Amino acid sequence: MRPPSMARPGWAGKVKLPEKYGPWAVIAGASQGLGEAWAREAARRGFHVVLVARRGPLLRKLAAEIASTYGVATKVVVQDLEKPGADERILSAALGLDVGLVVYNAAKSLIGPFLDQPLASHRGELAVNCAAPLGLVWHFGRLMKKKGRGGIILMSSLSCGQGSPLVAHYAATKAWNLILAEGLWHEWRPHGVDVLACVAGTVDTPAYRQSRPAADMKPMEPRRVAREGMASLGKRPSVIAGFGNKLSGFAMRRLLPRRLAIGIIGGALKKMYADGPRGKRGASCCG
Amino acid sequence: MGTGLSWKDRYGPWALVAGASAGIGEAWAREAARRGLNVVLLARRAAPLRRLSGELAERYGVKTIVLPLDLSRADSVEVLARRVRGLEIGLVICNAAAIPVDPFLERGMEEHLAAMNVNVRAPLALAHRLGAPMLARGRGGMVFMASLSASMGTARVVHYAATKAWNRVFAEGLWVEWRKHGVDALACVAGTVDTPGMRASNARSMLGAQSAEAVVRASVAALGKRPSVIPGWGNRISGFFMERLMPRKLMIQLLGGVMERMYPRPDVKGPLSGNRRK
Repeated sequence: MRPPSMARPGWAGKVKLPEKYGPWAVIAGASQGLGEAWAREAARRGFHVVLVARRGPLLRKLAAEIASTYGVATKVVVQDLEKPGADERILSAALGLDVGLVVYNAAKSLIGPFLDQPLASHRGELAVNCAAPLGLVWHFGRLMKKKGRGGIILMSSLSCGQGSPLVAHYAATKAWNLILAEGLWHEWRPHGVDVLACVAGTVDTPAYRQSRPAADMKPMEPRRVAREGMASLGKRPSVIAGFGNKLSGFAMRRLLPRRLAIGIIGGALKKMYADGPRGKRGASCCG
Repeated sequence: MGTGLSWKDRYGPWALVAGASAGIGEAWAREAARRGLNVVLLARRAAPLRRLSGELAERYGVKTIVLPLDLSRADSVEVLARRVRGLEIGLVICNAAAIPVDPFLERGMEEHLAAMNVNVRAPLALAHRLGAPMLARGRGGMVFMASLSASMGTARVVHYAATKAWNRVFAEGLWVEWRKHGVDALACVAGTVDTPGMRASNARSMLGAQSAEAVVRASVAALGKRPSVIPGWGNRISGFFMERLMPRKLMIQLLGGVMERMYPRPDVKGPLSGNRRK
């Protein structure tokens, strides 16, 4: 990652995001992969960052690295986003900080037939992927609306364009995030608060690699996803990161009959996880 | 499934209808009873369920169970599972929904969490607890209610639309996974439906509203044949237009404008739960 002084001139001359939204960014699910890329991207843009995830040592290491590379302030909040009340604890940890940006990247993705996983795991998936962002969006959104400025980014996935076997529940939670963000985009725009759903395809993250995909899905580099997402905030309600993903999103959503699209993604996922998939908790990892 | 089983053998002997007190749920209960299924009627209010139960028993000679239960409670499906233990439930209709019609922040977190429990957490648990025995038996059906408003972000019903998007995508994924085990999942993507709940929402316009019976008929016809169904030609055309032709950003703005005219005052309040759908 380049230091800010060497960054592309494209964005440097424009309005600085921390000035537009507020100086602090909260990154939920920041320990590695896409979350790490979001944290670096926010710092590169000049935000001080609050890093939230379960694993303290990873977060502290990343925080130190970000502080020295980008010269921004950092704060580490060790919090399991599956736990009820996680949103309120993050809110109180960020008390007193002028939070201008919230990126919700944490996700749990169980891979495999729906009924192969116990209900408790699915409830955990719902807690991480929907209940926690619901609370954070509600709490921080309220503060931002009051201040008349702010930005919120929710991660979604291409798999939610239609039903996706083997990640049936995961895809559903990502559809929830997409539709919630788009609706809020419209409601909060007049109040100076920008909301964005960042729709990713497969991303080359540790979680993705640990899910042991068999087929080569040409995963995207995390930092490219974060850059495109950040650049889209305030410009549109949702963005599909990556040109290839935009194309396949267009084909799946707009051209193909829905049933055929479901069959195609089902076939792709089956090939991808042919020899025993694994449920993973980490950044979104499913196309 | 393609076997020679009759509808009753395929989806019987018991149906469970969540959100059965009025509207689409009530229509589903009647349809199931008319087709000879015994029906478990589930909703918050016992009184309308008892009336319906008496009517179904008398008219169609089927057995009924009245199960007053608030699905916004976290443990509701566990309570339900205990109550229906031993019943062979072959058809599950996930129709209960909480529909806060308001700008997102005008409802408190408790209400949003309750809506998530009713609209998402309950169908998730129903699919798990009642889906597993169906797969073991190799037959059955489960219908999840979704909404055209979930085609994209929708102002005034922001969270509701998100929960309905969950239901649509979830059902479509299960459709593939369960089909090979003889179990049919279906997402019913309804447009505006003329139900008591819809009327109570004080919508300015109910243009093109369908009857609950028409929605159920379309779902019955689609069950086992496709992953999702949009009942009604008008709705199919507007769904095609909204999802496939229009630029997404523009469509969200247009739909947002429609919703804001439909529910003009920010203080429009509706009941938390019911069978209202957009």
